Amino acid sequence: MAISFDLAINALVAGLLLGGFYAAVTVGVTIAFGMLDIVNIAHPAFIMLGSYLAYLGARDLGLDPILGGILAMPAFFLLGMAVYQIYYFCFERRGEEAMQGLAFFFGLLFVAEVGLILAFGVDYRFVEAPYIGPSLKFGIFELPLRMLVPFLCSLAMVALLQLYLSRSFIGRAILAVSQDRDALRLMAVDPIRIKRIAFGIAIATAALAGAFLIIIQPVQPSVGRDYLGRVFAICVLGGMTSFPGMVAGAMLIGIVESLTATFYGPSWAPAVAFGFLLLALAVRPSGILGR
Amino acid sequence: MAKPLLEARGLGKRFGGFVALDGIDLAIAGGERIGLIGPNGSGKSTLVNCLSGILRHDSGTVSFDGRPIDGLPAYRRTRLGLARSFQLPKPFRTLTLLDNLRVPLLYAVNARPGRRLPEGEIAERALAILGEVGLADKARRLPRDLTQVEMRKLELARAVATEPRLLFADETMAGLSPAEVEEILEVLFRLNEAGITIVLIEHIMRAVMRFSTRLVVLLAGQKIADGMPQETIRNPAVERAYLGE
Amino acid sequence: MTTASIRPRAWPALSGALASTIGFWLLAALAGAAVLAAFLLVSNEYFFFAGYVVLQYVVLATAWNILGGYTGYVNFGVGAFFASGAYSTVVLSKLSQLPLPVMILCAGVVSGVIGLGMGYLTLRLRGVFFAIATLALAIVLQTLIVNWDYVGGSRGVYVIRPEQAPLLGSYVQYLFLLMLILAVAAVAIARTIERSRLGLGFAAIRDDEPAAEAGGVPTLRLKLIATVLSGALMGMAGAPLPYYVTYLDPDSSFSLAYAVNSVAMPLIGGTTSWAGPIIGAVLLGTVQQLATVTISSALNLMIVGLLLIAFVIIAPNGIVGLVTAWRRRRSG
Repeated sequence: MAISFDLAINALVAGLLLGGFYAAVTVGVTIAFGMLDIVNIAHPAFIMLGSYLAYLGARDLGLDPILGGILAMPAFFLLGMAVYQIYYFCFERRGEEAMQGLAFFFGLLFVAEVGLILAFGVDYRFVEAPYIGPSLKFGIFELPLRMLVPFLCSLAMVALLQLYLSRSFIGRAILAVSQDRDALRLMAVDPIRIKRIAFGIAIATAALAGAFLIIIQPVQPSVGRDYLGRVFAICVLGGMTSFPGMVAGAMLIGIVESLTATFYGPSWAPAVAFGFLLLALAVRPSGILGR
Repeated sequence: MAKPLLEARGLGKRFGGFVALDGIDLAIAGGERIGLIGPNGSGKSTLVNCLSGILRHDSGTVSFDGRPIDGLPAYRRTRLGLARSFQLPKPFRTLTLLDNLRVPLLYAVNARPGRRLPEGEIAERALAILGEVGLADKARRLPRDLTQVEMRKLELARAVATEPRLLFADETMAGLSPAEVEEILEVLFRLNEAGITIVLIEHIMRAVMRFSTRLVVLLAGQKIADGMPQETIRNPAVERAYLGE
Repeated sequence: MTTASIRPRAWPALSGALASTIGFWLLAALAGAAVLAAFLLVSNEYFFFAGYVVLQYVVLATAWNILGGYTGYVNFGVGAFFASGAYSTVVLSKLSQLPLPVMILCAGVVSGVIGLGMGYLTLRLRGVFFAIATLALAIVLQTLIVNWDYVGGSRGVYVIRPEQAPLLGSYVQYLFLLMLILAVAAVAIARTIERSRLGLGFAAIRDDEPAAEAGGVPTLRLKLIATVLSGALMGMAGAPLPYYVTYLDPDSSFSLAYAVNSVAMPLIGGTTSWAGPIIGAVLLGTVQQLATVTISSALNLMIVGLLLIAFVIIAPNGIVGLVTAWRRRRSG
């Protein structure tokens, strides 16, 4: 009995740490989809790109992965702006966003995964850093540093973003666009420019989240797909636009996944997030008009 | 009022913490021409959405022709005879004008017990309705070839095609020129003469005053006035709502 | 006006539409027979192998389009329905001696029920959430299969192809014939729907769902019909798969490649008509079958993905759309 209590507590803690990381993974979707209604189902692909970039940075330049992730953020920001520009020009503007827009992002997701397979093969890639390996131990608690460090950095990133959104002019403009597209026009601010910047920020977060990912676990191209359900499940559970809600949802999913993996085996874990997603969608009260 | 055609009692609707409708009582008799007015955000569109079934109200009851219709989905209400046109025209973009009208004819009219219009008659009826709004010559065109006022007419035509007994005309005239407003008004008068009860939701006061036999005023989700147009417009509460304190 | 004079006027219209439908089914069956004859004449076993895959994609693309193209609801979880069909055949073949055509029908029922359940849960929401939910469904079902030892779990299961084919020569030719019949039926069903009252309702939902609902269209019911029909056809397309590949495992049967192809083919061919999915499936399917021999399958899929993106940007109405636009420009 004492053994499984230990196990359960540590699974809980691991889930919490995982949840923090999941928040970093999801924040980009919360901004793009929750706030701006852009169904970027290719977000996991950008995270994988971030992971592999961090891997290359560590392998070829000896860069610490988190540092590599931070350095990649400006490039991802520009990439995000470019992708949004294409999306807006080809789909949002024409009003055909529904199907063709979805197909566009689906195509991106797929091309990215296959591209990574062609470039790196299907072997697992990992990085090394001084905080990957050792763990902090308090009594029965064991905190692997490779999870603790991304956990702390993830929460820091989310907190900083929340500050930016609520304090800076552009940040508040983003919040305004998410609530009422037309109100911005009356303030002579171009909503398209704001959305472009916001989407750029969303993709930039993927660069760092990808770095966190490869610290937590080895990666191979198809890992991104597991995150698809997680990311949207957390976004929906968190109420779509709320950062605190998103963090809470992320922790919840992290804990349930961790407990499931510990007591039922890891092969059941992917179903948890997706199962949550289906449930969350099933009980959402909004009808065909609203979200 | 003798048995009302549509009756709402204590209708309430909230969006999260925001109260859009706060205990609305409204009774509409057959044949009336109601003008529904109020400042932006007063709840007019929410009221129409709740009554037509696109939104579910949180409290209160709605009856149509004596039967409670709470919880009935919108398409059922349309089949019972309660129709609405949309504020921003929502045409079926990939369908011709003719097909745009065949949809309500096939799904609202033909679904009623006893009615079974054969295909040939459906096309004829669609053409006839398009003729009533002056769009017959564009029957085979797509909605994107229409002007603003023609889109509004198509929107009305689609609602009329459901053979309604009560029609909510939601801001059909917004942004139109005086001559265009006149055109729409004529159509609405004709429809009312043919027996359709009409609720006109509008900001253009000139048209509302001419059209309505009764005026209902909403403010911040509450009904603040309900009566003869000339009296209601002089109601101090109504003046305050529009002109401020 | 007497009823006698009304009836003759109504009759030609009625029989015109009916004749057109019956005529199409006959033509489609004839076309199918012609294809079969051509393949039998060439009698190269490889063509039957490759042809099976192309026909399978005709069914998948047409099935996807009934929900995606006609109604506007995008399904990314094609793998879920396709693999359920395959695995239901595995289960049935272990439990009984049913002939394959019957198992195909059963697979249709299983996938149809899955479609019904999922649709009921998620079709009340915006199309976007439905699309995401289909992805979720695929992973959930895959996880269930991976953990189900009766059908082999993650190790997969071996299926023995019968030596004797009930019809034609080899078993692969028999499979080809079954898939051909399924493809003809799927296309004929799609076109029949397209021209019917049901098809008009689907189009209204696709173009503007609230307006359709306000116009008397029972949107939830129609969307459920589309989901069930689409899912059932996808399941039937997957049903013969175990006998075709003889080794079935979750990774390959739930592969995202099926989803990408099922989305790309109608989008490239054109989603508003029954002809679009066929064009897309034949073009992309044939190219892929040829390419698999020369280039790696990963590169192959990359090309499909890139073509999807390109077409969605440049020609959102697909090849059918391009042809229609060109014709309209020519007639002035």
